[in-house]
Amino acid sequence: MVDSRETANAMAEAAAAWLDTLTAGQLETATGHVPAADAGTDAERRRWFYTPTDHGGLSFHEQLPPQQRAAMRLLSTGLSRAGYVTVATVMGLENVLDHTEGFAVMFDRTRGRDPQMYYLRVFGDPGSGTWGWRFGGHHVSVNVLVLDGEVVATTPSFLGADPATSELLGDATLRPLGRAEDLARELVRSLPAELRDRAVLLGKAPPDLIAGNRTDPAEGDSWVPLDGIWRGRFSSDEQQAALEATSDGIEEQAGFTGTEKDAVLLSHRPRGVPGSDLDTGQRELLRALLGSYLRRVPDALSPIARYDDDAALDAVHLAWAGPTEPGAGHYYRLQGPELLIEWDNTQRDANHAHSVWRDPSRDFGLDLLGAHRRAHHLR
Amino acid sequence: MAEAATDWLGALGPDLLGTAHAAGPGADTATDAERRRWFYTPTDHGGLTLHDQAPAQQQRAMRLVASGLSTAGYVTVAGIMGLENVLDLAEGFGSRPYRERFRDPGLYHLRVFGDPGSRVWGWRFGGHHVSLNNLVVDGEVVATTPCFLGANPATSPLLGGGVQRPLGTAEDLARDIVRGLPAELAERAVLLERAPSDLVTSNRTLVAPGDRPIPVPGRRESTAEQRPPAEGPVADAVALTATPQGVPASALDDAGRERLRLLLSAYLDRVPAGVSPSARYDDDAALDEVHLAWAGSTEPGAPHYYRLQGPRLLIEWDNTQSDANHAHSVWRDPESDFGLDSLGEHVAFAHR
Repeated sequence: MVDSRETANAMAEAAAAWLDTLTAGQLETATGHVPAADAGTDAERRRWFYTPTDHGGLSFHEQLPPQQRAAMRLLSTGLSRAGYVTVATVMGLENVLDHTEGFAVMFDRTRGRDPQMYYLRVFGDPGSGTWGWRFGGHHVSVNVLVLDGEVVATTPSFLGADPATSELLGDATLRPLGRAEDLARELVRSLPAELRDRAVLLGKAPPDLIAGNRTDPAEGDSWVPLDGIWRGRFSSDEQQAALEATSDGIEEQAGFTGTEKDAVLLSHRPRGVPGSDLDTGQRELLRALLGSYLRRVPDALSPIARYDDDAALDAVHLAWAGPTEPGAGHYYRLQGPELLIEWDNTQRDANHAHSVWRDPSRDFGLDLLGAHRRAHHLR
Repeated sequence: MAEAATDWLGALGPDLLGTAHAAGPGADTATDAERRRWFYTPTDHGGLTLHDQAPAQQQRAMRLVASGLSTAGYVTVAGIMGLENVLDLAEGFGSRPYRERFRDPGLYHLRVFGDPGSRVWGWRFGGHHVSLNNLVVDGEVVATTPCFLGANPATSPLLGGGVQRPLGTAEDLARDIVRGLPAELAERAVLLERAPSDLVTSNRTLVAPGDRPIPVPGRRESTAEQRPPAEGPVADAVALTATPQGVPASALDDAGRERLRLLLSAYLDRVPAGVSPSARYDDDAALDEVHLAWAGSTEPGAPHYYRLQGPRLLIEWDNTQSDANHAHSVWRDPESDFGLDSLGEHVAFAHR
């Protein structure tokens, strides 16, 4: 089996090969500051998005075909086969979403929904002891840190799908993230009434991930309105107004009262039902669900084996918000030591999914870099 | 379509128009030759690639593509284009001496033939595993074939044990029908225990009785007619015939007929509802004439081939290469591919 050092070597080789293909002009956009403890110099690396905004880095539009190939090769070193297939599919969905929205102009770019607006940036020198890379665009964010030849952080790891379900020919459907939805629903619906009452925090779902695109989630965080998950204001006032109207519409439709917001806030103490309360079949579902997130990365990097240990699984909590019937807007969270997973499928009549795997103790490798953390940050 | 095509052409400068636009469709074989050449390999399909275009032009190109497809058809095409990145990984991100990126989601070509505002015009979108060929006459879409979709890999893993199979039901429904046949009918349906390694009619402009598989993949350098067809017992057994081989729908039970209708829909409903001929098969008599023939094992996972043939209909499927994880599927109308009949050319399938 490939070990973690080999994976780091493969990444370094692929990153160097990609950078080698680029011109001096491209390199300016393709590279960023070496990862650092200092929040100021490391700020750009720690900013991440899942909206169709400028994620920072060189987009495919700015690369020639062999450069694009080298970029995809670097991306593939940080993902399992299934993870890579999912990312390729999510990128391809931009064409589908563009169709859904009537090929409209939006988001202050010449093409709003765009399968080529995915950005790659390398931070630091891949041959050195401290470096990282990021691949991001609409509904994809892959963040990797390498220290002393080891891949030490692969989170935040975000995947989304809009539409979550698309028609295929012959009455079939395409659901790139379908298992992450179905396994969680099956699990929560399998709970006896008393446990289900504890698992379901609220009868309605928040409209987005509660941790949002924050660098360092903390106790008491609530979701970030859509127009806050953009790199900056649009240059076009009209486009900015359109985004704000969309954002306000989402908030209005969610219609959360203060008490309802409180019910789904992030907290140190995980909400919901712990793995220790689940029966054997439910524990297997929980392991499979964890696998659908933690196996996004190559086996050598995945912490999934941690949950072979029953005690580790015992500490993972499942919380749900919204109806548990298929087709209704819903949200869930898995939380435990070194683990925060969030899922929502609420927008577009519950046909627009977000999913993130985070390790609050180690996102961006902040702990290992000795970076200052937010007060009350999750662990 | 005309509006989307005009919009796309209008967004292109003169330098791009030279590649994006070609002479109008016509009955003359020579002047219409380029429009009638089609491919499903990663060769130059003719036209402007996505790489040649700025984002806003690419968006208009995809809008034209969408105008010729149903939603499900469009999702499938978008998915197949995205699969190029997956295939690139499966093959280790290699290159070829003649092309810097071999598997390439940007290498899809769009070309408009003639003036979208005029009486006769058409367009084509093609690249690896996609070929869409449309002809419009007097404001009517008169031809949408050959219509090719393929997938390599045919099945890809997703997270949590899911799989992605862009063309999966076109495989499953046909296999279910054949496996549901009583022994005597199954014997008639299965032409051979081995499957041809590709579509029998390949990328020929016109299909005709006697067509056999062509072992050399279609590339721009040579037409299908210039490449020697395969010989041997497999080629003999699967060669195209004027009288359809296999089992007619009239011999199927209700469940088989229902599956066959859905299978036909998986091909004919690639195009928008207003254009698709799938309603034709609501008529039992029309369905009765559709024949299903199979070659290869009927076990899931084994290399296989099938064909649906009837009046104005030829559908072919193969999933044989890459350990039966690489699928081709084509919908053709032997009398009206490329709309040649509407251009005044008499194409009588059975008598050529």
